[in-house]
Amino acid sequence: MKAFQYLRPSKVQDAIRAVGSDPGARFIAGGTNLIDLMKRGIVSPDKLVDINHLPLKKISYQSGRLKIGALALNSEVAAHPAVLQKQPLLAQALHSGASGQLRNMATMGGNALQRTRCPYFYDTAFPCNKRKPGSGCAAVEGINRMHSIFGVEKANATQSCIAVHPSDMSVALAALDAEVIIQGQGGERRIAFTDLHRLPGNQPELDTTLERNELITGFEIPDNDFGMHAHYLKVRDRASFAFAIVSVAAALDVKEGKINAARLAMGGVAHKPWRLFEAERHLLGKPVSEALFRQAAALGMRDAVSFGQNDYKLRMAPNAVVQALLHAAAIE
Amino acid sequence: MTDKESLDRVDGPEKVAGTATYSAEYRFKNLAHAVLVTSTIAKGEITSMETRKAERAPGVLTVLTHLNAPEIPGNPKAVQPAGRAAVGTAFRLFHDRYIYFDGQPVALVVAETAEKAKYAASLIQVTYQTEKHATDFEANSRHAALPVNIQRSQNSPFKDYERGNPGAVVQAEVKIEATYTIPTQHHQPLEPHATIAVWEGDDKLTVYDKNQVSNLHRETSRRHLN
Ligand SMILES: Cc1cc2nc3c(=O)[nH]c(=O)nc-3n(C[C@H](O)[C@H](O)[C@H](O)COP(=O)(O)OP(=O)(O)OC[C@H]3O[C@@H](n4cnc5c(N)ncnc54)[C@H](O)[C@@H]3O)c2cc1C
Repeated sequence: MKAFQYLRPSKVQDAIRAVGSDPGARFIAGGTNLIDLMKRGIVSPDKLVDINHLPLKKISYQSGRLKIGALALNSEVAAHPAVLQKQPLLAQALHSGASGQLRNMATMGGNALQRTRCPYFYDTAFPCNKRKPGSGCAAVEGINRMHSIFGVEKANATQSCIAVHPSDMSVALAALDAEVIIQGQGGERRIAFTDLHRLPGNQPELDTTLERNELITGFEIPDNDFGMHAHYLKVRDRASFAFAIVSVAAALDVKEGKINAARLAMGGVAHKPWRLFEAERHLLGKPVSEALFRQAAALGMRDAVSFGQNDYKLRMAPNAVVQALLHAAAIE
Repeated sequence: MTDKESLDRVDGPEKVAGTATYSAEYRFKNLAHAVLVTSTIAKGEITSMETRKAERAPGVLTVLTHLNAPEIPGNPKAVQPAGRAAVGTAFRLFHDRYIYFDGQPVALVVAETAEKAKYAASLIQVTYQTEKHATDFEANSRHAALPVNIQRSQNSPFKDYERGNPGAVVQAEVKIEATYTIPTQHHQPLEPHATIAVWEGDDKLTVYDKNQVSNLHRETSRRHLN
């Protein structure tokens, strides 16, 4: 680990300026991801701007929106009454992530911006377009059982990236039409959560659409009518303390037996939390049934590809979608 | 003792309560720290090692590689034949330029603090000539063979195991054929590997070590350091 400078500002603008003025500077929140990456020599910042003293920890509910500060801890958010009441899907997703100890350190902003767990991204002896642009992708021909099935062209894969975004929380935020509030040197902007992460394309080194000196200050989730008809299903190698191989966030608004609104997002399948827009549309206005869920899941899988060791995901993913929808609809 | 009886582990309560002192947690004055640089290939040869930057990094005391490592007193003196050591030869650390396995230690950086040693280790550049390795069990299963010395020994625990009536399957009315594979199993000790060695006089070395058989380890150390 390289020696680095450490700053601890107490004002948002000071933090943004400190990162903006130094290309080698990085924000640090809970540090549960960044410190690991520094130890492994994957990122070597020469300045860490600790944002834990910024006033961004608040969780509140106001005029139809749940507002969560970027520094609220994963464990606090998962247990907060307003979250449990208004957006239980988010609480479920947060709860399924990492371990109790990690959730006590991990922040909302840091969780959204955690880096991929692809073994070739972590092992600096291998080529990796995300870590070292233009060096290639060792995963395409390598150990890829955890890797993408969506959002990447097979023919172009070795120039791109087949790693997946590992966050559970982000899958729920994508499904719930959350907004991200971002502060930069020029002021505040808001984007849809689904526009925060990007597909790898020919710039897999960029995970998100954020500028380096932009700070996430919070997230907002608008009210919905899903109530308890929401389910986060996480398929993983171990029952706890393991990343998703496939996960599904499903939410349904059922009125008089018909689906009024539906949200479906998947984790562990793409470079970003993957919304299944077409499958959602297919559900609208139709009566709830397992057959309908199977059709929707099949639609969601239309553009899926696989790379050998992750072929199994082509079957696991639609099955997981159906299971999550059955749970959300409370049919079992 | 019967199968059903069990003994309490001496260190069980301490480990579960998180109060056990691990080897790396003993504190001594003037402790130097060593960090390994390990191979990034599974088979091949080291063709060059660039260690100058590491040697000049702040706080570095020494950098050891196969090019400058001192003789180990207890190693058998008989010279190994030139070239790659044969299968079954005991592995010698920093002994030659050959890579026998992935993650093989190729350099050791000693510095005043662990952080300084780690940083200096990251500055070492090793180039390799890579040879093709064969580590995929599935792909190599058709070359599988029982090693000769195991076949020869009547008492070998690795002999095929037979019980019941092995021929019965031939006459069986219903047969199920399937392939069973064992998932990867990792050896994951609670305690990370770490050793502290403290000279307590010219002829007394105390070693704090993470190991499974202390007395065996003591004998090995004694033999090597002579
Ligand atoms: C063993 C282990 C298991 C895990 N399992 C899971 C799991 O199953 N599911 C899961 O979802 N996650 C899992 N995680 C990941 C964990 O959720 C993340 O490490 C954590 O959420 C990161 O949050 P942090 O606050 O510690 O981020 P940090 O490490 O502090 O930061 C991460 C990145 O975000 C940037 N950043 C942080 N906050 C902001 C901000 N407000 N604005 C702009 N940039 C910011 C930092 O610069 C850094 O690049 C696991 C982690 C570990 C170590």
